Amino acid sequence: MTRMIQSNAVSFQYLHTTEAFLKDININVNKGECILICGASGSGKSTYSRILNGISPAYIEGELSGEHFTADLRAGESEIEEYVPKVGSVFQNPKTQHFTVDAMSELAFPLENTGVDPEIIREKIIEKSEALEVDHLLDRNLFEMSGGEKQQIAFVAANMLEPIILILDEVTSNLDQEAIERIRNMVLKLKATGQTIIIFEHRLAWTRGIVDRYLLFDDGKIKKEWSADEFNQLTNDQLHDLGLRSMDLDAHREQIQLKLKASNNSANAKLSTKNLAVGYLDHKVLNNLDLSFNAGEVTGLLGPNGTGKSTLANTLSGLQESITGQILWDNKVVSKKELIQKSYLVMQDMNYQLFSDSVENEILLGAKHPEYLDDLLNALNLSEFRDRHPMSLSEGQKQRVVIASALLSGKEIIIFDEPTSGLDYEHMERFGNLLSDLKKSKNVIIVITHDEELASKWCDSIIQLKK
Amino acid sequence: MLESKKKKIQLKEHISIGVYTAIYFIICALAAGLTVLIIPGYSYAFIPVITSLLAGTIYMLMVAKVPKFGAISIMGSIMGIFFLIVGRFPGATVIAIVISILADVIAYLFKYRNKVGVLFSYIIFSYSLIGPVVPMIFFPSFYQDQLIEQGRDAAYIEGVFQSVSEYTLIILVVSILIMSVIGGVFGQRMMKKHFEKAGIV
Amino acid sequence: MIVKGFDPRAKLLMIILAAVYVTIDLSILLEISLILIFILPFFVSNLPLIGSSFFVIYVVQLLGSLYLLPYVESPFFIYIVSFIFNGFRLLLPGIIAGTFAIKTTSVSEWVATFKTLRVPNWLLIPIAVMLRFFPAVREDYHHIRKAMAFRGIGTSALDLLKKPATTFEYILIPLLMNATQVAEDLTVSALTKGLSLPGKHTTIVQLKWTVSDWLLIIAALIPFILNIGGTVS
Repeated sequence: MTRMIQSNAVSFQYLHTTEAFLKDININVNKGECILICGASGSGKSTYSRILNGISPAYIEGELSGEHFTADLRAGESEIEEYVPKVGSVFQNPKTQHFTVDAMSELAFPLENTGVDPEIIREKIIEKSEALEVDHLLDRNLFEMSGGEKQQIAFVAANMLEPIILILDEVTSNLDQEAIERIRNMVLKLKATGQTIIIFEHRLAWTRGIVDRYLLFDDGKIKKEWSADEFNQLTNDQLHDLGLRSMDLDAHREQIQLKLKASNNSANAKLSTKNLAVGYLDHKVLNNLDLSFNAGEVTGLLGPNGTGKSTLANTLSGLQESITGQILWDNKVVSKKELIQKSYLVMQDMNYQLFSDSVENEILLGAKHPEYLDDLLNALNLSEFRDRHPMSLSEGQKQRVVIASALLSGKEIIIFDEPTSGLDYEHMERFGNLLSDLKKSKNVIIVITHDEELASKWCDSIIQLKK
Repeated sequence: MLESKKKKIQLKEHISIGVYTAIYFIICALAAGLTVLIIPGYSYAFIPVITSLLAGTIYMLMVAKVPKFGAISIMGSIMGIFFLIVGRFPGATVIAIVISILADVIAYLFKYRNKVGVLFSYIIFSYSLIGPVVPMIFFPSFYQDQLIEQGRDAAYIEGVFQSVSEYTLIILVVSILIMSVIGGVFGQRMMKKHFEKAGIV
Repeated sequence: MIVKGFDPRAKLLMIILAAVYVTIDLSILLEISLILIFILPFFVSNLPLIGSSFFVIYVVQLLGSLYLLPYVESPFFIYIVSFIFNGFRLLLPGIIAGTFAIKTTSVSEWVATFKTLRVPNWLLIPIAVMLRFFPAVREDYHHIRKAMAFRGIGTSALDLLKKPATTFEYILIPLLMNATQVAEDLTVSALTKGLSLPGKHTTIVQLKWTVSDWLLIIAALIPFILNIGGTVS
């Protein structure tokens, strides 16, 4: 094999656009190397990942100029089918990349497609799942797994054909620290077998010690390149200047410790709980909660998956009934119905929360104070999108539309569920600023997050849930 | 977007067809749930009526996303296969397949783009679900024989069945027509208001 | 993985047999035995409740046909009542067999069955995707309802009655938007895993026709044989 990954003056322009998205990319990757490509959203990372695994230009179409080779397959000439045995891909969204319903079938899928004998498929599944430590998941239904578990299966599935190249396209976006650790271990094991691994990531911290080279994409070009040693020398501030997330999370973790609530009952609290237990009739998830949330403050809710953050959020916002205990607003007990009227839970996926055909109509839907529409549009930088269909906006813009409608509906409690998962540094900062602005309207703001950078810098206090 | 320039349906479009057929199926199940509550036993004949009212948007979306011959036929055939699996009259499957191919041909002639043409195609497609009702209307002899055995007057029974069957058939044909026009136009409005405006199609 | 219980192909065969039985006029005794044979699989598959429910339905239909129907006078009601007690009674074996097939066959088993029966790709893939998509729709629906609850739209039955089209729109449009996105993600992922590869696609789920399948089919044929033989009337 002469060319593992080689790009010579590669440019790529999407259909119906006037400018090339990728401009003059030159990259050479050798066998066994692990490189990481980072950069802001829209810098061309995803576009390049699709050229690497053959999805572009054949399926996500566009014009390719220059020469690109993946495992000696030439982009634009080789069929996607030729890439299948050589390149494995793992994608960002755990919910939409599995073709089957259970783990066994998902792992069997690539081998079935290549016509492998069923007996051998079974052997391979056992072999690979043991090697990558997912054998305990084999008898499970994918719809009952956590995001981290789904990604683990996706990982193994991508490796069932023993590809020489593995592409990881922002695979940790939705995962908590524990899940990221498990992914990290998998990558280390695969690297030890000599696989060439290309990682596209915003969350850099977990890649220390795995990646050999770091490449920065900016506006469709390669702006800079570092060896692992050079990159590890960069301080968090230097990384931020480059538009990248922190590498060293220790400082952030210290900050978080400082912000942990020492005393949990404050007389000024707008929203508080007394001896609250949340969960289900047969299964209490959290117990004895005496929490307090102040108006005009951002409280972070941290903890690994499965500790009950979502259940707590559902209960505080009135979606779910509490099991025992009380929830108080201004020191008066409130009912589930009152809580729903006061709250808005901004979910991770904006697609479920947008109902209208224009930003203006969306924000006015259910609005209590429609007269403030113009001010709100201005404050959230949405004026120019007034007549646009919400679904045509970027994720960040959609998020602001949802927030605007919550505000105009007079919601006093706003809870965010993983608002910055998958966001680059700049957008994470923008969101943090947005949080600060929200504080001025004296809302109770709660943020459920895995994002330690967000929590350490932008939360006023933090509640940490443990298993 | 993943639309292919090639004329034949590609694999990726099969996946889209599967996704949209799943939603069509769910709407059909929803319609079944609603009709059964009205007059048990008899009203199940009117499932196609409610389905055609509700499913317009999905049909229009699928035609916009996969404007090639075969998508509509496949959707109808899968519904037909479902009839077979739940033990309905096997002719229902054949009817579903034939009518959906017909609907597909009509849409094809209008290049899957002309609004009136696609609406017409949807109206025809809406009749593909009447298969299970056919025995009730065209082969009432099964039910008649037993009544006659029980001693009812043969001529009387035949008369009853004939008139109710005709009556039912007319109501069915007319209401599917009306509802599919309403549902289809609603679907096309949704296309313009949301999917075209958002750039999805 | 060998499928436990009955081979899905046997279950499909039962459904086809049921359709054949619709065309035959059986005596009451043979009909009862037919129903008993058809509900038997429920009892050996640890689903006695469903099996018994079908039997109860059958008994109600039979009794209604024998004792209630003769007294109905109005023409319209004769039609409806005879349809419920006679018509559906004929369809019952098919419904029983169909319900059993759906209840006891997993998604991967269905896909494996269609693959083994050499169903062509243009049908197999949409069906496989459909089956995989159903649980996802349920999740999506719940998410959308949650968001609607906070927005105060479509929350009460009153909303549904006053503005049915708008409420329907609120639920349907996000669902379809999401579905379109899922279709694209699924396609990219499946392509990288070789879904479009030509040649034979094997299946890890192995269907095995066993003695119990033979017994089932033979049992299901008994009423047919007895009927032809004219021994029982």
